Amino acid sequence: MRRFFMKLARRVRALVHGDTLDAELSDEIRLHIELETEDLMQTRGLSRDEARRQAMVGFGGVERYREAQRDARGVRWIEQVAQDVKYAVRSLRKSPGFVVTSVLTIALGIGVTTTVYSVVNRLILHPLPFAHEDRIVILAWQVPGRDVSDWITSNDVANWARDAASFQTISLLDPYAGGLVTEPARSLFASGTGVSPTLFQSLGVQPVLGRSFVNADTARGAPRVIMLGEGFWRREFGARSDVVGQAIKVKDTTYTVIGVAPEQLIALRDYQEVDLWVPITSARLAKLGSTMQGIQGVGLLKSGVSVTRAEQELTLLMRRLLAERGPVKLADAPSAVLVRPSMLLDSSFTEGLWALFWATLLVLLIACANVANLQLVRASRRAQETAIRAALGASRGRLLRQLMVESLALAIVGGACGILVAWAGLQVIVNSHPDIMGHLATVQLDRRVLAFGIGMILFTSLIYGAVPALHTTRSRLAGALRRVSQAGRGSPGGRRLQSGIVVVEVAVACVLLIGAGLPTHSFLKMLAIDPGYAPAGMLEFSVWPTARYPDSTSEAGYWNSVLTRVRALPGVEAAVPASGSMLQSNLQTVGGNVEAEDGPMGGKPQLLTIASRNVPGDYFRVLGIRMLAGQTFSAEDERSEPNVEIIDKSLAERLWPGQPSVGKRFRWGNAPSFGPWITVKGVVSDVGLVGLRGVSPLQAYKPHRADDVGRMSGFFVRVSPNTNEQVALATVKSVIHSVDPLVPIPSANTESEIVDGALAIPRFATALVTAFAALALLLAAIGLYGTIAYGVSQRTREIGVRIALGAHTGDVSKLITGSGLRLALGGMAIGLVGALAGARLLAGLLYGISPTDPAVFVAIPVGLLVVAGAASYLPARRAARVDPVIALRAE
Amino acid sequence: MAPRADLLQGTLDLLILKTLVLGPLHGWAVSKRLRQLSSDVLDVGQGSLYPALYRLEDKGWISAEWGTSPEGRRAKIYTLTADGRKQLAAERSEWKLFSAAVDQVLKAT
Repeated sequence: MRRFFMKLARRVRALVHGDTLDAELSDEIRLHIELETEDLMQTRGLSRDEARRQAMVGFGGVERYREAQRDARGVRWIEQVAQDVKYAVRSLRKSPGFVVTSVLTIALGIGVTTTVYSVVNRLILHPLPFAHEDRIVILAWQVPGRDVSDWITSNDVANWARDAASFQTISLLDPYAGGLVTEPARSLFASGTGVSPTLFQSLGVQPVLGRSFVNADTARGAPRVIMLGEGFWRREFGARSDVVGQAIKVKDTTYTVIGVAPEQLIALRDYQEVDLWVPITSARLAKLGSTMQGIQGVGLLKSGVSVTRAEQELTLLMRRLLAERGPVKLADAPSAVLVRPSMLLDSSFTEGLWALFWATLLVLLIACANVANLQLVRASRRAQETAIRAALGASRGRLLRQLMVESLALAIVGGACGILVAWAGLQVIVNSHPDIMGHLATVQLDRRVLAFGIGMILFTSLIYGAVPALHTTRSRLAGALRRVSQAGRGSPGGRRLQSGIVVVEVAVACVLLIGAGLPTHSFLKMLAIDPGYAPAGMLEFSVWPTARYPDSTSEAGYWNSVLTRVRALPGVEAAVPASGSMLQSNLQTVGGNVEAEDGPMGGKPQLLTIASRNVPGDYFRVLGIRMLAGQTFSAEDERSEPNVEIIDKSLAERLWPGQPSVGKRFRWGNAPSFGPWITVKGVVSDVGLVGLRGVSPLQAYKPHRADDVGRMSGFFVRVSPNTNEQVALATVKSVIHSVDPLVPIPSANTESEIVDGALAIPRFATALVTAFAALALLLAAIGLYGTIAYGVSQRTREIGVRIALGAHTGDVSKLITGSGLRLALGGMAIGLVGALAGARLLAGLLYGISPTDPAVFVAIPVGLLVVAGAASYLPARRAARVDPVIALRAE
Repeated sequence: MAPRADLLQGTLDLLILKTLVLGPLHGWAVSKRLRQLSSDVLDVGQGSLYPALYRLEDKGWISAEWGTSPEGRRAKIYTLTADGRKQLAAERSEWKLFSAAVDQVLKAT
């Protein structure tokens, strides 16, 4: 070991003090020669000059020996690399055009790849912005054959927290701790989450203001304390620091504000805004007991404990608890499952992001291909230089290393620019879409992203450097020198390689374009979805009078005054309340068996999930929902109990396919317990972006009854077409407030915003993918153009001869264009096969089209062919203008 | 001038180590001592002597230090290290084995 360090020290010294060592060596040699000279004079009686001459002869070539000595120092290769770098910089400085083009191409390639990777890194790979985030797991469980559930019972958690040795801490989340916040002058709805006091410490999270919870806060009889979410604090309290110590009333409990919890905590709640944080009190835990009422567990694994081991331990503890209560069949026994938080993300979103990431890697590949092509062109211009250096004894390894150092230098400069591009791209993404994915705002260029970027730089330089370098240095000396004499015509091998690269480029571009074309077409289909109502000119509010007006009479009175005042506003054409807004389309969803009278299934019920809402009779008219059959509710329906409902088209199709359904009856339930028969009074169009993920197509409408309490929480207003919707939105909101400022209005949107919002993610993704594909197309076109143009410049003489021998200019340009198109066709053939295989991966992301959508698979190749034609035609036109006299004389 | 023999590959290290057993020497003295000990049969080309010295130093078998030569000049003096002694013993027995084997082959006519 000691010897190793001594050696290392010697190497370092050799490297740093190479000059000193050379000097020492000279001293040693001088001494040797002097002593030898004196020795020869004494022993042989030679004259000083003769003795000195013989001594020198005996010593041999001093320089050669010095080299050998330097080699023995073992640092020669480092010195050579330094030389190579110097050489690379000098040679690159001589071709600024090449450098600028390459650097820009690499910068774009590295830039987009790194940008998308930073998003992948934050959202999928490391979704939690906490210390030790790789040890944080969500506790969940699974019964064989069922889905994983992350709702756990309070008893299980207590059991685990007491006995599990794999965890440093287990903290609880109680997601339903929010409610109505009442202040003297206003009231508003706030979401809230209960947490164990351990959570803050185990995540390493510091409060923005004040303190976080301690165990004493959860004790029975302890003063009730609360923390405000950072967003809520900024929005509703103007980020005032004097909120600490204030009292705040949530539902019926008055809390003291002790601090402000940082925004990053909402990562634990799938990035849904959390307005209030409260400690889970022991009273609350006792009340929850073994009910499955929404408790989530967050565990911090001890370092070094594997997820599998922790799962086994929890499973054991869970089954032991069950066994205490009674015998458990192993087949039904639940197992604990630990979920990394990234897996909670919507899988289609994750898939889409990965698809995007692969797409950017393809863009990078095309960028590499382009630079490789440029390198080849440059190499053939430098063939003479290379050949001469080889002739002078430079080894292939040495030449290869020099070329690679050049490539690396380019990659480093290009990559540094690329990381700047990534930084800029990130600003664009974060700023343009903060509302779609709140957590996008936390994406940044951190250590991991930089490491990725640097890895990509090395990787790209290897790809685009190695192929041309290997090719250039392979040519045999004699051949190279001979070719040099023929005024840089470029080897046929070189052209083949270039053509190969272009084919690959076109193939990759083809895959990318189809990969972008499919989601784009799918998005166009989404835009064309009939929402079933008329969103233009519609305003939608959530209004919650229930807390203030607990009985039906007073609530009806409230709604009456709201309706009177709103309808009196200029520009308002109609207004109607309903139970639930569009945004809450799935709030009142009932699943179960439904039996259709006289249906094709006979008396057999079918399992359906139906969203239902209570609406007044003019709801359909105001929202522009089309009545397809039957009639809307009458005043009679609102007063009495005739059990009539209006259903949408999809439900009618399910119950009575192909038959008229008005007047028919259906009921919920299984034999022998059935609900009452419900008569269909009318059929309306499907409402909402039916078919998109998460939108239930089956809806039923019940008549709003005067004695219903607390049902009306949605409010729809239609304004006349030339009204400014945003202004109207604010006006209507303030009018509702003026009726009773203490009734909360949790949301107010224009209907167009809601429809746009539903399409925002697909729109964003489509725009991104299209941008990348356009970039790929541009790069591939440049590559094709460059190759053809270079080919023309090399074949000038041949073309000159052809023209001199009577070829028409048309023939010449046909020849050149043809060679370009042949390459493009070859690439497209490969690309189409690749795209057919790859498109299946996108199947889950497509709406309304198949992965082999013929429109895309025809349109993209045709478009690509047109671009390829243009890229080949430009050089072809130049070739046709070749003047044979000049061309021939140029030799 | 006495007839000179070509040095067998690998024997140079052994010879240098051997010359240093008797005491520290500088580069020229090593070559001189070698010539004396072999009665001028073995003459190390200086082109290989110094790289060999450096290599041995690198391996830790000899150590070098700037000092004053017996002739009163500044010179790099090489000394055999403990490791070098071990190495010398090892190479020596290897050499004996090897030369005996070669002898045996030659006698077997």
